[in-house]
Amino acid sequence: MIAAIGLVIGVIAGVVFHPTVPAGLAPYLPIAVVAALDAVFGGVRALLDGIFDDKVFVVSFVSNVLVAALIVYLGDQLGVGSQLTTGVVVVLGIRIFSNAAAIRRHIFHA
Amino acid sequence: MQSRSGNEPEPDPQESADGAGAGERDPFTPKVPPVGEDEDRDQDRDQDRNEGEGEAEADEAEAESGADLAETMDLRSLSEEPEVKSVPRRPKKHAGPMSSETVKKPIGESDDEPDQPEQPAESALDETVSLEDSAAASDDEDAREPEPAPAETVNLRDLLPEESAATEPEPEAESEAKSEAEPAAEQDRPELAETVNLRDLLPEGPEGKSPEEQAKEQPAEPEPPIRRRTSPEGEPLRRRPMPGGQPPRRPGPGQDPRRGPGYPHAGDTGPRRRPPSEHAPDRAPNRRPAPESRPGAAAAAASGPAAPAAPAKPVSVSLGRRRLLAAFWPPRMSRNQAVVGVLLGALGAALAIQVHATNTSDEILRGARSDDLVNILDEVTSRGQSLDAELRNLETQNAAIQDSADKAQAALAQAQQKAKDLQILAGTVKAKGSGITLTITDPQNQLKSATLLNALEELRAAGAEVVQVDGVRVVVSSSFVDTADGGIALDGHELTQPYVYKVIGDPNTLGPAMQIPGGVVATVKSSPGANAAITPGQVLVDAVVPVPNPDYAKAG
Repeated sequence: MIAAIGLVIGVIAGVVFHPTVPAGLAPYLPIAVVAALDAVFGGVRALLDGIFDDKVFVVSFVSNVLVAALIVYLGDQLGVGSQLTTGVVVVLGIRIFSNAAAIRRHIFHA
Repeated sequence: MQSRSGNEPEPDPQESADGAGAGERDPFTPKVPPVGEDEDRDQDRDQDRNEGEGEAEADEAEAESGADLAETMDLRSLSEEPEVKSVPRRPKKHAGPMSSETVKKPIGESDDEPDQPEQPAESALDETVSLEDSAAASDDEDAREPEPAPAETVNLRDLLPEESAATEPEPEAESEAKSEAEPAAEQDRPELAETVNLRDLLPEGPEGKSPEEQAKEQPAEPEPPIRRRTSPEGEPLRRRPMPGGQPPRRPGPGQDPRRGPGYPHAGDTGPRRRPPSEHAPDRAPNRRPAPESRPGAAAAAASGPAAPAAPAKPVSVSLGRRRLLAAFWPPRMSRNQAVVGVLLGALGAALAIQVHATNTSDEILRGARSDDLVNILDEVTSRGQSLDAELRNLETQNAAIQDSADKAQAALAQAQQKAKDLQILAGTVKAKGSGITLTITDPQNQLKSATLLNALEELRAAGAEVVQVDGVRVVVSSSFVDTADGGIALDGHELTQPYVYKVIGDPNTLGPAMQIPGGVVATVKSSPGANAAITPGQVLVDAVVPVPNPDYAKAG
């Protein structure tokens, strides 16, 4: 509940203030968002599985974001930034889909 | 629960192996990874497996959703041999009579300090669990059903190992103990009995849902244990009593001469659990308090390994929804919740910012990396070049068209000029200009038309452009005719004296041309009484001839 409220507040804050992202961080924001989404879906799934743990969630959330950003940063340094970004997005997308499938099975039994 | 009983047949050997492993490893608790990690790995592994294996994934998801993760672990151990080492922990965690404990453990145990002392107790639990499993896996039922019984059954179980140490018939003893405890619980829940009946009718299919929902509702209200399970951050204290209470069991295996050596063998625990599952159908009637596990167990006993995880599905549904609701409604404020909320808030803000940035074009450029910027620049440049080329092309076309338009205008002007000239020559428009006026008087009426015609031809020869005689325009087809009454007619009009020629032309040519010796003036004056006078000046020729409309002739 608190988490959902936090999400809503965050979205509203982002829409209302839409602060400017520092130019250096701008390329990593989208990938970080996708990674965080993956963590959130994993958390929801864990919740439905009954094995949700706040600490694990927080750690996995932060580490997901950081690792995704790090991969993209490395890619940029190596000159394959856009390709690595695509790869990361594909992987995270697959995970999100599988987690969503598990959640769907839990909730809709289908 | 259903999932457990449903899945049992398959994973049995593995499970028992795991149990054995746990039994062996427990003394070396340090090997066991911190609980938090374990949990994390679970999630990750789930996901990984999901990516890799479609079928296994489905089965596992169902199995897990049954809330009996011990079974899940068994499945996992089947699918992933290398991970077996981490598996032993799993059964421990979830095999406890109260799975709520196991869920809560991660938080409290993450410190590792309390963890280690607990491990042995848990392993003991594990063993007892396997025994209990053999007695039809009532752990989860205990956790799930609102029985006051659990405590009793636990006690009974605690006693059991010691008894069983002496004698083989342990499973029966346990089952008896349970059958004692559970009827008592059953009295509390007549509705469950109904559910059970329904369940017997629809044991396996997803159609069995409706009974399950009943079952779900029933436990939900009277039963705190489920709440506890779904709320991981519940008071960690609850879990304490259990480990404390279990140590008595611990000696069980130690005292049991048969069990101690027996554990390492996979075959040992396997057979032990088997008999109960075979008994299951017998006990089914009075075991009803555990409606969810019952049909599954029966099915497992009946159909053996083939019994799918299908019965687990409905349970997972109810469980999942209930967990979701439980996570949502009674809002709990804790530090962890707040941290999660803040993280999600950050996610939401980032999402909104990113969406906003993506929808604003210059923001895109702002965030783009240099490769992309170069590409964009190239694109823009080439597009600009192509636009330039198009511009030049269009300018050329425009010039050409303007040219042709000018030419057309010139041609038109020329044509109009020509038309005017022709109109003047044809006598269809008025004309004015310098010229002379030639007036011929003939009081005695002696002049003939020939004289007037001669005068006209002299004028034309001298360059007369437009001529009018007495208000009649002279054109190419004009003719002078002597009328019967002695007068002169021009184009059918009777001329009256004096005959006035209005002539447009060069006056300096026309005047002398009239007065040359033997010219018009001399000729006229040769007739008695006749005279001719020439007046140069501006002349207005206002007579016109009607425009003939040719019916047949067309412009060639």
